[in-house]
Amino acid sequence: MLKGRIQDLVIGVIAVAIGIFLFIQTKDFPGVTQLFSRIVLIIFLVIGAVLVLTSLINGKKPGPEEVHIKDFKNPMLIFLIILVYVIMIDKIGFFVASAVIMPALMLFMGYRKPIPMIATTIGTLGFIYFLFVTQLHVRLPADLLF
Amino acid sequence: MTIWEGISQAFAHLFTLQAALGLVIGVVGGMIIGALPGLSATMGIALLIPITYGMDQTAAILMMAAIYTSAVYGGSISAILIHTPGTPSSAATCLDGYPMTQKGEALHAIGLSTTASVIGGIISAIALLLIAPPLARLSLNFQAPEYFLIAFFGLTLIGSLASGNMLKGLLAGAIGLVVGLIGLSPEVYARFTFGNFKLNGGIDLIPAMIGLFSISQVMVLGEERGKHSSTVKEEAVIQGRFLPPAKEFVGLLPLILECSVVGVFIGILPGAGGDIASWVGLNLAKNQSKHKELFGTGIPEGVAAPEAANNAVTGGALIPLLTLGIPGSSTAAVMLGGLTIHGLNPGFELFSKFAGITYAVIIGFLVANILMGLVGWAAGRYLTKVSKVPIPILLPCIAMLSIIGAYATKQNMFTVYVCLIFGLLGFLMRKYGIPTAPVVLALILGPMADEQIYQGTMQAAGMGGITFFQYMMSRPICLVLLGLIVLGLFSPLISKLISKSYKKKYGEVGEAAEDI
Repeated sequence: MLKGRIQDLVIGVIAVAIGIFLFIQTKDFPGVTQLFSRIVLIIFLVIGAVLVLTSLINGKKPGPEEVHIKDFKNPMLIFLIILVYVIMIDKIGFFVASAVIMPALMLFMGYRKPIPMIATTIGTLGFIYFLFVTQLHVRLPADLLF
Repeated sequence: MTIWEGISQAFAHLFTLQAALGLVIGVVGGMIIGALPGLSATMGIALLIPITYGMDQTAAILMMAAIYTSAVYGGSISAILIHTPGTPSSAATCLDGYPMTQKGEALHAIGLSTTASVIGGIISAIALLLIAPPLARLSLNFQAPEYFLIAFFGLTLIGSLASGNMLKGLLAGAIGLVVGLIGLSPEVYARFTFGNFKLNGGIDLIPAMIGLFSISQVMVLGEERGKHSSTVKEEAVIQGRFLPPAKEFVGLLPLILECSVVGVFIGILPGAGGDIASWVGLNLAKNQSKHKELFGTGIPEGVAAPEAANNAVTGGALIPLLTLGIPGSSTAAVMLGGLTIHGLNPGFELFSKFAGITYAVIIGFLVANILMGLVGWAAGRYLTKVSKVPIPILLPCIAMLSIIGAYATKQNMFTVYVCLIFGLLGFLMRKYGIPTAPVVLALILGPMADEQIYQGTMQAAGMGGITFFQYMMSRPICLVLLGLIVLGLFSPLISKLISKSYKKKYGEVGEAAEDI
């Protein structure tokens, strides 16, 4: 079986597994809630099952491109940095966390020009402060500075 | 209420500082987003919805509509100057737009694109003004079964939002439906919340959309790490005259008008968007030309026709959205979310109770198209400079705006984590060829269908114990809607055939931007 097809097979199997798990949970749901939930989950299960079947039947025919694990490295690292950023916002506040993470992301992406980095950070934070804090009156997570 | 009464009410809503700012920000912002390959109107609107929370309803919806039309136009500028369509709607423009640039007529090509886009947009705004109100009157007769079928009809469009593999598009829609189940059901039963009371209200649409469209895009841009690239390939020499000569304009006008009308019609059709309209427009131009062999060498007709058609789609697409709540494209789906968040439910109410706001948005949309022409005339040539912003600078800005946008939804960190989860989900879906737009559509329409099936069942029970299905089949409008649903089910097939035949005829163009 071609690797692109195996990927689809795995996606289909995961969908079917999640569908069955959720379907079992509906046993205690009341009347219309149970009816609608089951209709949706049956649709989900059928589509998952069709994906599994088409992957098995067309296993050797050219299909979706193979996705390599190495393609995930940089995007997942970016995701981790954003996750750290969100945790930092929760702990030390939005502006301090942003002032640290924005240049860090630029450096991570391979950018090395300090003036545009500083200008972008200050400019974006200034824009956010003006728009969200002074105009929209959004209460940002408690900050060390503000 | 007549159209004139609606228009007279609109001015009070339109002539405010907020509405004017919304209009200008929408036009300029949309143009920038459209010109940046990889960023789409859909993502732009998703990212900017949180900014509209503090705005009044007119300004907020007007800004979204302005972004929509302006981004479609902005996409043509990068198509003409750097042979990279900023949005999928501009792919056909590359064929003659870029050869014009190579011939040293870049500014002329941008001028043609601007003129045709403005005319297409204005005609679509007029069509919106004339067609939407009578169509909305139809919805006066709607009850739970009709609304259920409307939601169901919307769900049949999922196939058309799946640009590639239909099965994966349906899977995406099903994921959206399942996610839409989370939270209190209409019977007030906590469904799939697993004891977490924060999930009782369901998954918030805005953080989910920001995650699916923006955070996933940040992760995709992360693949460019260390490449020191900007989104632009090469800079064109921009010279020549902007406005087309009077003789050329008069010669092109019938074609522009024809393509505009065709574009409006395609926009109204569910599932057929700006990309199809631009190819149909180009084909119209070629069929009517005495010099078919010159297409692809850089001729004005090849730029004017697709650009008139794709901008005419925007107003056309707003017609079913505002009157029946049917979003025919991913951008329209996000706009539906925006309308709902501002307490505006599509249908007759928009043209009666909220007539002032709705007519203000329609007139403002017309003004946005004119303003788009003026801004394009003044700044179009400089827009490639925007495309030169390096990805390492762009990426943290999008990331930060996404996070603050998600936070602003409820002003708590829970929505930010929801946004992150959907960002990761969106990225994985995109990597494995599963489109993200159907998730949003299903997330909006699933709970609507859920609510209506519950209401309908209650109403049917009060009618002598008939079932919901019997109740539905006893109503004539439901039968018409069922016919439309059958049509909707086949529309992706028809759209695909049209699109395939044109692409085969003209070949693939540039790096077609992904419809995110």
